[in-house]
Amino acid sequence: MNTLPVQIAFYSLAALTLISAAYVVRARSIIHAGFWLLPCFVGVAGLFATLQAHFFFVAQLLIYAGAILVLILFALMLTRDAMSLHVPLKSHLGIWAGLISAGLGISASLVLARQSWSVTTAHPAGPARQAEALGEALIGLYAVPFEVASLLLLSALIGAVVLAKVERAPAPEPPPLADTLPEPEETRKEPVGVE
Amino acid sequence: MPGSPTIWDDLTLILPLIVLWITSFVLLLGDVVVWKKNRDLNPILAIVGTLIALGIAVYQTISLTGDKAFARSLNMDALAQVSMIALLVTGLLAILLAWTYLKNRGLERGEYYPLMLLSVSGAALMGAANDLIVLFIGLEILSFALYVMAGFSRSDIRSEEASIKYFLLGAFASAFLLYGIALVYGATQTTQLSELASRVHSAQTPMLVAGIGLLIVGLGFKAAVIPFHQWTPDVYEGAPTSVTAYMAGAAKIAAFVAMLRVFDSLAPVSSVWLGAIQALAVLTMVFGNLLAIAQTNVKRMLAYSSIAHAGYLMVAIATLAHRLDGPRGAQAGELAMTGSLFYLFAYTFMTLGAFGVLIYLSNRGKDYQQIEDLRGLVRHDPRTAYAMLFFMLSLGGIPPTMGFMGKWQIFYAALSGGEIMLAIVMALTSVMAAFYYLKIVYVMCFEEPREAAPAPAQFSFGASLSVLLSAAATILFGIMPGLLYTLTGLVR
Repeated sequence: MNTLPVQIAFYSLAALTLISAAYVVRARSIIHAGFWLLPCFVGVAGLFATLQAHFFFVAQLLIYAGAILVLILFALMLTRDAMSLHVPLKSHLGIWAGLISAGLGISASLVLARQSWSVTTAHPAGPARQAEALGEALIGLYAVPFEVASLLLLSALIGAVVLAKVERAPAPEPPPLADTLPEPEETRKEPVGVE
Repeated sequence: MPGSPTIWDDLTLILPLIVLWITSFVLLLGDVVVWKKNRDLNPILAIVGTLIALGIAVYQTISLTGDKAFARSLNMDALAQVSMIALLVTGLLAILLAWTYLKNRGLERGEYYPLMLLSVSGAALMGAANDLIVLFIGLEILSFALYVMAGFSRSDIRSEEASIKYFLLGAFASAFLLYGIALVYGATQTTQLSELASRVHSAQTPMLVAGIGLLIVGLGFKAAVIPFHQWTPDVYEGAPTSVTAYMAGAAKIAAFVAMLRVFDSLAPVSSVWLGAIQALAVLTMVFGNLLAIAQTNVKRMLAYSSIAHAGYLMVAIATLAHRLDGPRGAQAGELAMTGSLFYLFAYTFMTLGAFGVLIYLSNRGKDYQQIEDLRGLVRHDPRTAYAMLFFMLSLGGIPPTMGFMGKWQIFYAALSGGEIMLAIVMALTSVMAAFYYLKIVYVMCFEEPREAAPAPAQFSFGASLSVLLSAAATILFGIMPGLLYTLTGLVR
């Protein structure tokens, strides 16, 4: 499969992914960073296509480039100040961070390049068989991590609620008639002086 | 698959985890829908759930029903079950502490206990993982809950800082761990630890070495090993004390049981990682203890002490490297395994006990955090002072306590494994450690109290019971360690 067109496709897709990923990190506005994710996800989908992984190509486009990206952008737009927030990216440690990252990057590339990879010449299975294999793996070999990941999401969800809920101003003083009314759904026990 | 276990056999093996999950769901829903006001019901139900899980775990451990489960992605052997017992005990003591602490601080929010139970289950998954992917997800479940719990006191800026610092550095460390897992997979084509053990020897490439290095960084961060410890003092100090207590115990147990598992299966290539582990052990023991001496805040001091204890446990990991060097090495490896489990039990009892004393004293309406605050404690609250005395002696590794027995086992394992240098450093730094633990004892017993008669501590069931249980365990297992050997001795 190592023909020239495939090589060209691979390198241009890899460049697309890496360059847009760099822009995600470098973008000054968080919403721009969100938009830069799109070419990044599409590039990854393209890499799946060059591997003839039909199912993953479609799933990557549908789920990441489609659903998750839209969700991220919506969440950002609904968050106060996210649209106008321009985080200054100047840091006096920037040079050191760059040097260390470059050093780690070069050594990681050397390590990866010197590895003798176990390459198979077998033709990839068809799309249907690939989806089947994925399903089998998810309920067989990887059943525990797959199911337990839902607990991870649950704890992240509870955590988001805990951290976001109190951020609003403390509940206003109850009106004078409050003791004759049924008690409110939830009383805030936060001490006064919450920001 | 011989014997072909059914799904029910697999589910039975993780029954304690299932009980924890169901309890956390019940608490989560019940707090919102059923008992909206009765805040005491949350800790009570959490305790009931944890006790049931603990009972099942103890029964399964004694009846030795352990086996690999779920397509070999979990290994519910004695190590997994004993570490699960340690984690459930930690959870139980921490729930009791939180009951008092959250009430005093006005932090009683329904999400606390479900998050904590979920994190216990994540930690137990790390201890039971036979697959690096399960280990990673377990670590993330544990960490996510801890990030949030560290920032639980929303009105306290230090708690916020602790949370965000822990989150950012933790995410960074998780990336290292994940990259390490990917490289190890690339080198060996497997993520299963039992497979890894048989394949690593023939896969010694630079990539495997890089992968193991990144695994050490990722796990070392969780275990608070120097130089990956920078988060520890700030997070320990800033987080609500009940969270600090829980985090100190649970995260340490989970990280070290995971390390025991990973480095046990990497023993065939021990020449690759032994040097790094030895260096980290020495650095952690020396600097953890040195930095602890200068602290004036008890929570911060206990943070550095937790780093120092991580150093002693790293000695056990280094000893594990000799597991395949003949019968003497094999015996030392076994001793290191059982010894570090005993040590983790000891660590969790004495650390939760020490934090428990702080929480109990804070019942007077003032947050007790500084060493100064403990001046002359023995005059006006002798029972609490004696409890603290035992925890400090135990943390310092002084004979009739559990802390000494734990340290002795690791010391002995290191000697019989040929890690003479590490054993010597361990003995010397333990002497250094005695200095700052005894400083607290001195301040409590021999200095005049600052105020003549401080407000008497209100009786609080949760903190009192937790401190009492920890103190009883520290003394009982110190005098009769055989009671706990029957449990930790199963791990070999």
